[in-house]
Amino acid sequence: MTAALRIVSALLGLYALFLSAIFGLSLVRARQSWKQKRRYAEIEPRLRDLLIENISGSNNVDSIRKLAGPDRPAVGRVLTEFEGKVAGAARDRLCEAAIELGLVQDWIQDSRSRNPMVRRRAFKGLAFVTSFEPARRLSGDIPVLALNDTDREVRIAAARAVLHSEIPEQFGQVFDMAMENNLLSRIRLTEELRRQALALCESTIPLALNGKDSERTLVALELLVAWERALPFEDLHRLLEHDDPRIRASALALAPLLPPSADNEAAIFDALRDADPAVFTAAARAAARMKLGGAVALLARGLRVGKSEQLRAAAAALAELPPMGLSALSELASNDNPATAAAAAEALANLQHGGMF
Amino acid sequence: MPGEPILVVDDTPVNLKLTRILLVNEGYKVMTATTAEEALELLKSFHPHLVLTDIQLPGMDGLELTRRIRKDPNLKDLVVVALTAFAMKGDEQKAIDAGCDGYITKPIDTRTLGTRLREHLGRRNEAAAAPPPGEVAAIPEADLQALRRVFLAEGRDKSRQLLLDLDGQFSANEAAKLVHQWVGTGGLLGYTAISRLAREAEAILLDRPLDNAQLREALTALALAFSSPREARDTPIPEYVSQALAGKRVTAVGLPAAEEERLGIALERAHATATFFEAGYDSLAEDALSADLAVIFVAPEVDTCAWLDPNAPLWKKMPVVLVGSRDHLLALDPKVQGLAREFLMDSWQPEEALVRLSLAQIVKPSGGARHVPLSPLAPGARTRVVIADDDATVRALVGTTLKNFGFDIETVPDGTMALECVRRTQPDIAVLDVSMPGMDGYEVLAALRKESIPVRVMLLTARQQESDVIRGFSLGADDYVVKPFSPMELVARLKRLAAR
Repeated sequence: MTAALRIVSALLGLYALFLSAIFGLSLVRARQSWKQKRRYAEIEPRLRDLLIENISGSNNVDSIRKLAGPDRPAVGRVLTEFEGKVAGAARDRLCEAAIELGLVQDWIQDSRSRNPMVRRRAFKGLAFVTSFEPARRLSGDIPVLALNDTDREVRIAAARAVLHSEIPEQFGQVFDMAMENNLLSRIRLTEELRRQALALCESTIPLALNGKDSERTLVALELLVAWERALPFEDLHRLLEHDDPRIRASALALAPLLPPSADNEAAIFDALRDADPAVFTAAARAAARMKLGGAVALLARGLRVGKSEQLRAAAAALAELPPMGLSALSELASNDNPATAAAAAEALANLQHGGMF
Repeated sequence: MPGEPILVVDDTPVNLKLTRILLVNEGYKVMTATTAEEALELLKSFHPHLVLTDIQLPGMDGLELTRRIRKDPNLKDLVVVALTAFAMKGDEQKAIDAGCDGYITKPIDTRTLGTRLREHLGRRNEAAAAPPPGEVAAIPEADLQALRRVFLAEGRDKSRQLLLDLDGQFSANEAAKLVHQWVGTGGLLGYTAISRLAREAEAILLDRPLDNAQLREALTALALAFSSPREARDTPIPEYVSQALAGKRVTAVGLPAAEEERLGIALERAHATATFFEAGYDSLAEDALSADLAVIFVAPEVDTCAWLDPNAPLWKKMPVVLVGSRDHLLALDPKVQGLAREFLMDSWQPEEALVRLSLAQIVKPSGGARHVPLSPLAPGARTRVVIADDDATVRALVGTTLKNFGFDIETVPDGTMALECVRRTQPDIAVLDVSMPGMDGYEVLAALRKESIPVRVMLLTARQQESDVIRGFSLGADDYVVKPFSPMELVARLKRLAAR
């Protein structure tokens, strides 16, 4: 009995010792982490100032190296804060500094880490520097391979690196990734994809728009509309006459961003007779933006017979189409239908006060 | 004159080939030799009007070749032009003493080589009939690319070999000769960074005792430069730069030799000429004051010189650009900083120098023909800018950049403070972010316009949709810059805005 008690108490003692060791270890690690955070907080503003001096032309890589000492990741963190803020030669200088400081090599090494947090940091850094040719050469096909990473954040960062790398063969894959169901991924990649719109218009976008999956087509259209930039393709006619009214409405929103074509204009006129209010509203906006004088009669009809949402869209479009649109509006401002008259009067008042459509 | 015979002597095959292509395209009849001995042999049967010879040649050097040409009664009318690399002090004087009619400094500027040779041939009056400078260097693109490929491949291998040799049998003299070739060829092919690094390595190789650590560092940098070269410079000078600088004379004061060379070559490309003065030269001298533009080098040893006296007549007569390290420029008397029209800092590139000099030339001083600003600047006053952005990095970046360019700045982190600050300080320009806590940039702008505060407003934002830009301008913004932005572009836009 005494022996058994001794064994139990020894085991309990060992367990307590083990717990104390774990506790002690976590205390040490917490302290280390706290100290590191404090040091980062102390050096990061100075590192940022040094990097800004570097952008301004100062050759201070040695000072940066000296200040960072063993905390090279801190430099990487501060450097990637410039993402989305600097461009041109200033960005090149930062990328050059990243190479000289060995950060790019670190990121390349970290890109193979099993820890997704480390990989995320690595690809965030690589996404920043791959716009710079020498860094691009150093990173090779690492970003492309990471497009299939298991971690979504890594995939997004890798996609940004690929888009900065100017590797057109991979743009399609990134575009497909943006069309995944995750809205956050799409939002984060939309702007980056916008810069590569011309390359994407060659085959990726026509393929996406002409696919059989309506949902994907819709997402692709939303993405293109969000770019709000001129796009060099004309083949929208099929989508403007699509069975799905959501696709018709999105295609109408895209139409003003494409080169003018008789087919597209005819489809817009047809859409102004569409029973679906969303399609009519989109068509009215498109007609106004494209300054289609031929749409005045259809818009005036919409203003006479449409529902409230259509009325306002038609009136606002007519206000954008002087002189015929304005004279139609003035006439309809005294229409017997009070809703029509009110919408027309409101559009005229907006115009007088410099309101924009 | 087209058809004139020229003999080119250079031991670097790439240099020789490229110079030959350039001169043949100019219409000259060109013969080439790789050694002085071969050149002398050729001169027995070939009678060129001009000999263009590298000074450093294997065996008999270019200086000895010149002396022998001068001794030969049959060749005494020959024009001899030396190619020097500024590597050895006094190279130029040695060339003149040996009997050369002139010298051209490496790296050769391919755009002006023809003009310079024409000048040496005493046919300056025919320069007007010469093809325009943009067309002079019409080297077939395929040839140029092939030469660049060969140069980079050879350079990469040889620079790595030099690094390996450092641990074994290493001949500094042989290495210096090899590196010397890269100085000229790099510049000639447009790889200015390689040319500069080669020059630095050559200086270390010629220094005794040899500093192995420094040499290893320089050769590593060179090997890296060959592996990942910056784009070769072959873009033409922008039209506005040519227009602003062509035919202009520049007084350059106190520049170190290397910077003199860079500036000289850059100005030549823009068809401007520079006269170089020592810092101790009398700033009132007629020849210094008759230029169109002045460039003054700022260093601790010259910051008390007469040129940097804000009351010196130079400042009233012409726009002044200050050159130097950032620290020295920032340490200058603020009054002098305010008088300077532009700054060139640290490792400036020739292209940047041309842009800055042209900007200094274009933007007129406040007392001159400049448009009347909304809030007139006193002569020498600095442009005051309020920067409002909730992002500390952007505030620091814009603030530091503008300070470096002589602006007075004040930064605030939100819209409400921006409005208060503008009301209080009445700056010349407000740079506003759009998405800010409290009042956004549009609201601040609308409030400023409503209160008729005379301030120019630039919106600096990541929002780039057409509707955002239109909204900004319709609210009364004077300019709209989208993030990510180039700090240099921002400065150029602000300067233009300040001058309006």
